Parts: sequence; structure tokens; C-alpha cells
Amino acid sequence: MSFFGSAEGWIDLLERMLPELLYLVMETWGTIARPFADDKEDHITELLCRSLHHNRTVRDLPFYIHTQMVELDPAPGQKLGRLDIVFLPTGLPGAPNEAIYFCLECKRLNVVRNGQKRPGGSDYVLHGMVRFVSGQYANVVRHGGMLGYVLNDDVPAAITNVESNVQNHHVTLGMEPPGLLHQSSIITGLSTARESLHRRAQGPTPFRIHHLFVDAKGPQT
Amino acid sequence: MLKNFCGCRSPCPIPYPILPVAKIIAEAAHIVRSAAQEARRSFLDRDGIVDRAQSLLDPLIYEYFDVIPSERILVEDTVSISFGSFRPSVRRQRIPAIEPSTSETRRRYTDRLCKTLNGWARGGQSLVRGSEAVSEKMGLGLVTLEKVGAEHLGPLPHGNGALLPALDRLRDVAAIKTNTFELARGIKVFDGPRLYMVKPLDFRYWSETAALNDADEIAGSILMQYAENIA
Repeated sequence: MSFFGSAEGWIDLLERMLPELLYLVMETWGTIARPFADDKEDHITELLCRSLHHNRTVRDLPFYIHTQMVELDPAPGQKLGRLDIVFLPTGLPGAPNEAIYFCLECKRLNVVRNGQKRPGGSDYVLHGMVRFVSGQYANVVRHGGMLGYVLNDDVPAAITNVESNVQNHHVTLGMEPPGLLHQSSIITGLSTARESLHRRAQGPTPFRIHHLFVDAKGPQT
Repeated sequence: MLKNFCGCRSPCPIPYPILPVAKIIAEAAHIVRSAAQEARRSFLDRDGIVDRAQSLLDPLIYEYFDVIPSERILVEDTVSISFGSFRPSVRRQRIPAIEPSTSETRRRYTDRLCKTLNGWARGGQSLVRGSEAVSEKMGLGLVTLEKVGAEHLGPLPHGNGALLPALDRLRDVAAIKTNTFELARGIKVFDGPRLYMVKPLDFRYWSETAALNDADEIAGSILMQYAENIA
């Protein structure tokens, strides 16, 4: 069926959809059994996606949920990206198509190996947030998400480490100095949710990244 | 044996482990055994016994396969509309999918469409109400959805009298220059707080499955507009 006219006047009808998605991710996270058999990022993401597919509320929403979706058209010279979790509207012509409504990039934080802790904040920023800001991910929309798996259950320390890395790279991230992560304006009542605002050279700008940090304490390695 | 395994060889989903599968199977077995016992005693109403048992079993089957209410609509429409419409024969000429829709069907369609959109809009400031108008002469139906504040949710006035002026307005909004009525079949037009949908009167366009698909399309358009517009 063809659409005419602009849906501009209808935008507020589904204004709660994005926060609802984020809440559902958090709710679903709470249902996953831990410790994980394998604490690799892809394994955890796969478990989360599988649980999302089974969540009855999620199944009622107008989205396909895909994991590890390959970005088909990387810019010249750019490495082929894999989008960790994507929410694609089911009702778009030719869906599932490339018009991604929401992409959630996952990163591990506070990984402990042989007694050594790797905070991972730098990887979170440079191989996560930057992909949104550069327009590599979500280049036709204004929202994206980061999901930080905190593997040693010290979520406050992980957030502090990410905040400090964000401040160090605030210019690359297109943020106003000093480059702060703010308390989330759309997910209220969750102390581990943050958001950040970015100017982008490519794609719609400003761009908002929603950050969720979750306790993912896995087996001792 | 059946605890985590679907015994049939068709490609059914395996029940999700969190479901109380054993309890569902025990309950289903009890219903079947009771029906069998009852059938042994009664020779007159065996069809009735089977129907009653089936109606008790259906919800359990949906629960077993973790089929949610919106998915149940798709299953039931597939059985009652699609299966009945495939390969009509000389003996079975009735094709449910292209039979004319009734006013009751169209009301159910609009209700389902509004309920689905309002389910997705919950917690927000706005909701949707709708009405439908038809012209059997033209073979066209018009669904009007209106976005209103949550506090103003009530029925949108119905009435066939509004169909022609509404189509005339649609022609202006959609700026269709050629044969309006041919092109106007199957379009959706956003016009401020209203959304008009022009549909042929065949049943398949007014099934609850069609309502779910239309809700999906509408949501897709709104979500992408939202994602592109909102800072």
C-alpha cells in the first residue's frame, strides 16, 4: 500500500517506543541466566537476542530484531561493520530493509584475565560510539545505543571509566566540552542509563547515543 | 518424553523451556480422555463432544507453542481465510478472501487496527480512534484514523455520507492526477492528525490480519519519520 502526505503530525503517537525498547532490553537482560558459559561479547549478545525474540512484549512490537547484521555499504576505506543488535521496523516497504530504526552496539567492560582488569572504556568509545558519530552506523536516523556488559559487576567503576574516555575523545565524538555523559532523559529510574549528544559530519545531526550498562558477571577465567 | 520436544515431524517451534509444558500436556491429555469417555456413553452428540474438547484444547495448543494473541489472529485467519481460498474447485467455489466484507468485519478491522496502534502508543500523550465508511456501489471503503489526545479518546463518527467529500479531499492531498478511483484503491494518506486509508471491499482487506499488517506499515512510516526528525 502506498503512503502519501507526511507522518510529521503523527510522530508523538509512538514517542514512547524508543524508551520502551530500551526498557525491554533491560527487562530481558534480567531474565538471562548467569554466569555465562562463555563471556565473549558475541556469545552474550546472542543470548540476549535469543531472549528478546522470546519476550512476549517484544514480539508484539513492530520490529524485527537481528544480531550481527552486516553493514552492506561501508564507506570507501572503511572496515565492514557488524551491527550487534538492530531493530528494524517490520512495516517498511521491502522490510527488512536497511532503514534501521535503532542499533545497539555492545561492548565488554572490566574484563578480568589472569587477575588483570581491562577496563575497555577506550574500545567502547573508539570502536563503539565513534561508529555512530562517523555515520558508519545509523546514518539515516538520530538515535543509537551502546550496551556495556560489565563483566566484574562493578558497574559504577565501568561507567566512570567510560566517562573519562569520552571526555578524552570528546572532539572526535563531536561533543561539547568537557564531553559529559548525562543521566538518561528517556529512561527514568535507572541509575545505569546515560545519554550523550553528538554533532556528526555525515547523517542527521545532532545524534543521541543512549548508554545502558549492565552487570554481566561471568565465570572466573 | 515430550517435555522439551515437539513430537510431530512438522517444522513447529520447540516450546520455550520456561513454559509449563508438562502441565499443559497433562491438561490436554485429561481433556482428550474425558471426551473419549463421554463419547463412549453418548451416541447422539459425538460431534458436539469433539467440538467442545477442541475448543478447550485450542488455548492449550497456543500456550504450548507460546503463541501470543496477535500471532493467534494470524493462525486463525490463515486457517479460516487463506486455506479456504486456495485452489477453489467446482465443488467448492466459495473463496472467503474475495467475498464482500460485512459491516461487522469492517468494524472488527478498525477496532483491531486502533487497538494495535494504541497498544504501541501506550504511555504516550496521544491515541488513535477510527471509523470506516463504504460505498458498495463504488466497491470502496474508507478508513479514517484520527490521532487525538489520550483524554479525548472516543468513537469517531461513522457515516457513508462522508465518503465522497473525503475521497475528493484525498484526491487533493495525494495529488493524483489520473484516474482517481483506480489509483485510490490501496492508498494511505497522512493529512495532519488524520490518516485516510482507501480499500477495496473484499474480505481479505478487512481481516484482522490485514489490520495487523496495516498497523505495521503505519508504525513503520511514523517510526522512521520520528527517527529522522527528533533530536
